[in-house]
Amino acid sequence: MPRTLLCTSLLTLSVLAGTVLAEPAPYPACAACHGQNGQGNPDLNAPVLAGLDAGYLIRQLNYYRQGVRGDHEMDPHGQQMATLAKSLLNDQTDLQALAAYIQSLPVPAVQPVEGDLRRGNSYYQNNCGACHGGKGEGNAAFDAPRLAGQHPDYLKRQFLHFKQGIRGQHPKDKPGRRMAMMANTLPEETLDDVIAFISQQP
Amino acid sequence: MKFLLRLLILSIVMPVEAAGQEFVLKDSCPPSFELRDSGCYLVSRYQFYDSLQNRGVGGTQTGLPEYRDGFSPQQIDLGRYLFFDPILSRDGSLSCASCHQPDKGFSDGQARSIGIDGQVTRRGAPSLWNVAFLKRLFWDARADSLEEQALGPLFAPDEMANTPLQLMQAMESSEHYPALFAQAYPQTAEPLSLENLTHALAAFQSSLVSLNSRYDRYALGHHQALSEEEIAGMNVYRSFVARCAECHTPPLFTNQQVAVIGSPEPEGLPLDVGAEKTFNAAKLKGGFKVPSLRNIVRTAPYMHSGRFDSLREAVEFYTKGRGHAVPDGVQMQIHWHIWEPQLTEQEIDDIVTFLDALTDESLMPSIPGRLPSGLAAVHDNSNNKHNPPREHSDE
Amino acid sequence: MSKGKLLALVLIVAAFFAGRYFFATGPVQMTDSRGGASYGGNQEATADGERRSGSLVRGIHMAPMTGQVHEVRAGEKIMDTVKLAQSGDTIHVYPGTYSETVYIDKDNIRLVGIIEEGQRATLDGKGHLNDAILYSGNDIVVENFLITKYKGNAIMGQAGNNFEIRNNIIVDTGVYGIFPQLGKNGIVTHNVISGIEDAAIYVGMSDNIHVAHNHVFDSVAGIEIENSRHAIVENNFVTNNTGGILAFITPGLPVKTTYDVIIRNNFIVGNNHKNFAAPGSTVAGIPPGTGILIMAADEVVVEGNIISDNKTAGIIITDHNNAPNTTIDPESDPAPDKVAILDNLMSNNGYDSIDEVKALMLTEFKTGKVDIVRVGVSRDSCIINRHQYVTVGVDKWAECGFTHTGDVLTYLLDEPVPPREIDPAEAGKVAYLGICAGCHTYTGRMIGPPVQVIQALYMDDPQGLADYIANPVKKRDDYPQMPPQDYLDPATRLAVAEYMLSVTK
Repeated sequence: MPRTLLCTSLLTLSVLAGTVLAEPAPYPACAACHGQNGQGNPDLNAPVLAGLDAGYLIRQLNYYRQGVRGDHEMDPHGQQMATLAKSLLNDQTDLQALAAYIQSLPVPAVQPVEGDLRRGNSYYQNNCGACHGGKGEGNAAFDAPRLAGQHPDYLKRQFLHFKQGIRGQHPKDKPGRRMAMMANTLPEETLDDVIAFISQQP
Repeated sequence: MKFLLRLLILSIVMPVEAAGQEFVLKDSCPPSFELRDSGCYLVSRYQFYDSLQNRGVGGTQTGLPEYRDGFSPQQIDLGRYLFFDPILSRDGSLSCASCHQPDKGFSDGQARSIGIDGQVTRRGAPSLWNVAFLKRLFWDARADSLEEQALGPLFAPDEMANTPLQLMQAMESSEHYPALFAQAYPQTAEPLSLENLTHALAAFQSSLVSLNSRYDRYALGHHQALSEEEIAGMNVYRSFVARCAECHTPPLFTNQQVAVIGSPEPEGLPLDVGAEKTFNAAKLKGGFKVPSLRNIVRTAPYMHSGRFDSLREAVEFYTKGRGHAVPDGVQMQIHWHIWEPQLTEQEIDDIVTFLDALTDESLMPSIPGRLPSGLAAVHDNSNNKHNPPREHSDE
Repeated sequence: MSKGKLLALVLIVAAFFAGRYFFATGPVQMTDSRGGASYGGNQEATADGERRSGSLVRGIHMAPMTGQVHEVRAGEKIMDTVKLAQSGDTIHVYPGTYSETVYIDKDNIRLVGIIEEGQRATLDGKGHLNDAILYSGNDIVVENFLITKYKGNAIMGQAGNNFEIRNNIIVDTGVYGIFPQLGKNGIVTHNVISGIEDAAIYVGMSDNIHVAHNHVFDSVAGIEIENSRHAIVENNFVTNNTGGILAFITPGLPVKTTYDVIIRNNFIVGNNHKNFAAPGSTVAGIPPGTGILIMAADEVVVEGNIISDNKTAGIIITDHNNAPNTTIDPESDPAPDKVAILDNLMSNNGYDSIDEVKALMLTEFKTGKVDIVRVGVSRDSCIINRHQYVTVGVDKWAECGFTHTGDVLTYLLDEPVPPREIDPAEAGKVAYLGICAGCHTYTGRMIGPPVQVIQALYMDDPQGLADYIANPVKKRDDYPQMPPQDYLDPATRLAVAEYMLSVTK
């Protein structure tokens, strides 16, 4: 709770301060949690945004605004993001510009985590790579976001959300429903190995 | 090419079983097989077609002959390990795959196969694709089942040169095989037996099915699957001038008969009497089982002792005159379809072009990354077993 | 000449040419004589009771003719139309010379030559083309053609069922005139065939066949029934061949038997042609002057034939061991068993027989013109009224338990061999396991992505998946491009998509 407060007050401050920035207008608000370069902040449970596909970003922002994502009581961080999205974005916001800007940010290096990489690789390639790409680079053809460079904690949390029915249940979230289906096929004991493998991808 | 690609993918993607880890046999059937009552049963569109007298020979839309299936997934998988494992040979230098290499149409690229201590055997290794459909095995048709066939190379002094006693001792003292046989033959009193070993090899070989070539797509009604040149070749092939289809009859591209065609031995080798010996019949002197032509482009050189390096030379043989290569003084009852068809050079080319359309390796099995015996795979390096085995592995 | 008369003349001339033009290009009205009404007969004929029905087999039951009629005219290629034709279509080929190989790998196509004032559609192989017509589909009709100068066969069937080959004239087409092979339920009728270096009509490895009303001459073998069952050969005119009518088992073929063959009411006359078969062929061993040859075939009934002027013998019955040019086959019984010779008119046969036959006759202290020769083993064979023939080797045959074949009108099937169709209920599974499974496993990557991923991507959109497989696009850098599966028809594509989305392992 204190973190949420902190984040919200920081956001409010920066918005109120009316700092003139080169990025699209709403980005500074995002940067408060997701970082100036979209590098995310594990301490705030804010995922990496830099380098994510614009289509994915737009879709997710709209989902947050429309209550498609971040509506589940078991997903406090999602709820938080939904609240912000609803307050910061409106129909006039140029989401295209915002998403394009974020996509253009360089993907930060992520601290690799330990695991059985051979097993992780195997499960990844057999189950995930078909949509997310062999190196976790994502594939817009399947609405599959980039995984490489993402914080391992975030990946794990989202994966479990999909598996537990917290994310990817809304009828409007077709890509999410697909992922929810896939999340049920991966044995949970291999999850850490798969995430370790992803964390090793450049 | 496709196969190479697959190997590449497999080698990148698949894990190798970690050393010391227990082996667990697969509980699912190979592709194109359906699991029913714990047996794997082939599913093919050809099963919906008839064939005269159920012989499995005919034209484009013709049913298959009787075949072997219904093996359990575990038996097939055990057979796969055995097939690639040199523990089956006397000195651990040869596996089944030494002479039946997956990337060479389950043949070996040799005119005559090379057995233990570099001994050159009498005949070439036949392809194993579609052996599930064959009633008789070996070039001279001397075995009636895959199980019976397996005993041949295992114990032939110039092939794997093992003895039943030594083989079973090696299996029993291996770390993993007793448990694997118990997995594959759970209801039997003595799972680890020679009988079950040959049965498992038969199970694996029966999964090597190739019925999804571009030719098959044509045959099943998609006439765009073949090019104009290939169709021209197909029409020469099945014409009553070339008469290829009279013995290499679809859908398997063999009629499974013994035929005396009088093809020559390699220079300097004596005549191989072939099926004369099997059937004790002088009229079958020089007779051999008609081989299937599926995946034929993979299995050069050609004929029973590999006299012809290329497919074109093999096709050309049939145009050179009835009995032209029969040694002087030898009486041979040359098959009636061997005549002088006077094919043009273009027609010979067209037949060769068509034969390429019989290629389908989509049900290629995966190669074990680690063998239950703990030995290294030898099949890719039969002439140099000190090379490290290629890294393959399983799903 | 008045203007009126001139105009009339012009009109008449114009009408004449218009008429010519019309006749040359308009479609011919074909009457199909296989169906329709029968002549009722003069009433007086039935005044004394029921009239027996006729025995002329006119056609077979085939799939219904539902499609359109195509026309092929001189200058066009028949094959171009065959490629366009759909199952159920009829192709009318108008008079002209066509030099091509026509292959029909489709079902239910009728290839019909149109005969206009005696002019036929002529398939001319010009001495270098292999076969004229080659079919593998079911329910194929080939009729009314003139076929000549091919190297292989005029008409060759490879495992087509329910075929009808009729009213063709075939002259010098190499190995066989008409050769249905590996088919079931078919007729070969009213063809005129000559100058063939093997058999004019050769029924090979087939079941339920009717060969009738053909004229075969100047060939090595007239009509040959080989490794086939349930065949009737009747009312044919078989003359001046090396051998007239043959019922064989050829060893070394995948179908191992010949039995239940009725040879009846044929004219088998003067088959004394020099043997000009290719060396090594089975028929190369036939002595000129052989009326009927029965080799290893069982249950062959010979009845009501006129067999005359065949110089070696009227009928020869032999096993494999006494036949030249044959191999052996452990799976084929070499003996012709249960042969039945009923009443036949036999006259002036064996007047210049071969030495082997003369030697056999000496063993029975017989001389003269021989009608029937049996050599080798033949078990349970029989004959009636043997006293009328000069025979060798049949003295010990039993008297037959029947005297005629009148109860057997035909061996054709009451219902045609059913179409070769994949059961729609199974189509999805069969295509999935037969095709898709080669590249996609349920879990795990093979050539293509796992089925589980596909299920997630197309969870509620089987049609989308069906559309995709017909025309796939590359979406993954590290996977090979999927080949289009457009050879599956749309219904099968949808079925396989639905199946793929429903499998659970």
